[in-house]
Amino acid sequence: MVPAESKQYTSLATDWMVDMSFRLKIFLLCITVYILTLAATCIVITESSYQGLLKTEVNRCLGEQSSIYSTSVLYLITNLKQDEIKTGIESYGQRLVDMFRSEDINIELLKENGELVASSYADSSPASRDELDEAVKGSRSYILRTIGDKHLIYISELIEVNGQKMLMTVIKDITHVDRQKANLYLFFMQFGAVGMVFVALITAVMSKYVTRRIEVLSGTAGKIASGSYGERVEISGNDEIAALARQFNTMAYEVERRIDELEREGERKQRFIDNLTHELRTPLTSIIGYSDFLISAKHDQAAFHKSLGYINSEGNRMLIMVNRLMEMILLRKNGVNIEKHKALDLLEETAGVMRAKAEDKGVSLVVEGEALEVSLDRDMMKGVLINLVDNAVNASKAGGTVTLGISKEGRGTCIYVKDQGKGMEDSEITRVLEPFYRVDKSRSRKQGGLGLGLSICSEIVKAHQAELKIESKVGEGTVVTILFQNN
Amino acid sequence: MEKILIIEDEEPISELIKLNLSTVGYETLTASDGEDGLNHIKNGNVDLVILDIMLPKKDGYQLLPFIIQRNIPVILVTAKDGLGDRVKGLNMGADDYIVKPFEGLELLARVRSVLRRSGKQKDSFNLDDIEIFLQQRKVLRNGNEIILTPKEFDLLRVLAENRNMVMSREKLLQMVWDYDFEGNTRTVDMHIQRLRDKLGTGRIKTIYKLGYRLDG
Repeated sequence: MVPAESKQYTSLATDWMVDMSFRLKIFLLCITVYILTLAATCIVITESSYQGLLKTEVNRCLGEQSSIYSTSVLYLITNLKQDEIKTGIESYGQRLVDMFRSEDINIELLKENGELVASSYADSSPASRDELDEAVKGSRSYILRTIGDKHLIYISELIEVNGQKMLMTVIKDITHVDRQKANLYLFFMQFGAVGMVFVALITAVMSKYVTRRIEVLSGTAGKIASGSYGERVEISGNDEIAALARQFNTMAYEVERRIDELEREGERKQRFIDNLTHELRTPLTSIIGYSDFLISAKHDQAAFHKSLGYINSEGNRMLIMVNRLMEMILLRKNGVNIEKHKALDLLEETAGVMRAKAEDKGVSLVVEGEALEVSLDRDMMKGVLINLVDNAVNASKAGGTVTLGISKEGRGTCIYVKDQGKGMEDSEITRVLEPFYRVDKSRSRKQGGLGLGLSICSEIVKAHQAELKIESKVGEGTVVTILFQNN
Repeated sequence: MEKILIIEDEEPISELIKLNLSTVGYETLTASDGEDGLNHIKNGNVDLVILDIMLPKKDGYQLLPFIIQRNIPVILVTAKDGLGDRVKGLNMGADDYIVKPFEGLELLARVRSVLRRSGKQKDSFNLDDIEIFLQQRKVLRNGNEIILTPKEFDLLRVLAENRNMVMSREKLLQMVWDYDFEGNTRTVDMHIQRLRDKLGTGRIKTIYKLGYRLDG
């Protein structure tokens, strides 16, 4: 047999996600979210500010270029007018380049066919120059290039003076914009690292707080599992864990209640068995003891008759007890035969049976109540009532009254037997329905009681789907009520 | 004779104990509840108490300290054969216990042994002109000693202690010879015969098919 505990409850048990502690999961989750958010923010902000900077820089460069361009054109026009030799504009190329070049600005002048006129740009330019193709058509054009570790802007425009054409390209180094971008990234990373330390600390504390409560829950569950069914979780708040804890407590309460119930049921059964053993052993002790005495002891006539008398009466007691127990068993097995009956007639009949005994004791027996119909097994219920009235009369003193009555009670009907007798302690009330229980052991035995009457009554009432209630106060009396539902 | 108080609420049981005890010659008193029993203990000169645990008014456990205080030995009668009950009773100072249902001879044996231990047992029995001294293991008839073998004396003692009760041969073998087997009952018959001859009394009766009885 494979014990139930070894059953594999989930195939995820070996998954690394499941193996990781909950605290670590929370921690990693927070850190991941933090890093992703920071990275996204960093990229968006840096890139957008870079784009802005770049745009401003390009505009600045374009402005610079247009001033260079217009100055160049003006210079060329002026010089060409005064030039009588009519040299081409190319001859002014080197001068233009020298005029405008600076630390970060280079000027390149090309003929329309791409032939170099003059250039201050020492590094090699790329083979394909798309901006030149555009410029040749007459419009200004620029392009951004990364050459080596440098970021450059190429702005090209066609110069046309007196019908002579030349392509002027202003090349400007704008690498400082990229550096700014790199700086921004660096800043974010430093800031992120510092933030990370704080986030890690906060998350560690938070996850500890969250998981501590889970640990409390699991600890309590462990205690309950090991048998302390009274354990409860103390968790305040309104989150899911608090809700879980409340549900857990409800469950624990229910488990404890049912276990208590089972234990009480077990105790009741144990008591029944103990009592049954005792009740069987007592008459047997007499029967065996007296017969043994008659066999082995020298005895006179009186002792002989006494012994035989006890053997006989105790034997009969056992027979009655066995019959009663059979009644209880059969009642549980066969149930009752329920029909509608006039209850008041039944009460009168019961009172008729018991009146003689009551009068002998000086107790008056009164029947009261409305003419109601009740669904019941007439013979059995009569037996119950006789038993209850008998108990009531036994408990009463001379001059007392026993009342047998019927009344409406909510949606049902109740039949009650009320006395002004000596009453019972609360502890006794809970036990009087148990088989073999006697309130007054010696007195009841002398009257031939077995301690089975009320427990059989209780069984009969249960078979009617009715309820037997006992209220009692020491010195004031007892009321036994049979409550019939849905009449 | 020793006076024994029986505190037992179940009348048939109480009467049964009383019958058995008085048959072998003990004096008996009966009480049917705890308070009644306590009154007897306070008033009377009681040598031993046979006490039921489950009693009305005051139960056996409540009575025990009062009885022990007066140096009276106690045998508990318990219906439950639960170990706890007996252990509790013995721990509280009871001398012995018997469990219902019990045999008459067992009850007598326990009563005798408790009385002997507490020194309350009478030391001698009288049978007509014969006197039996338990302590000295001596038997006198009209002042003249009758010489008995140790086994013969033990046999006489057992019969005398359980007088009026039939003792089976097996029981006698067990009690006198410490044998626990059923053969050799002839030994018992031979010793009985010798005892009858030496004592010269007709009080040791043969009960057909059952055993022997000393009428007293």
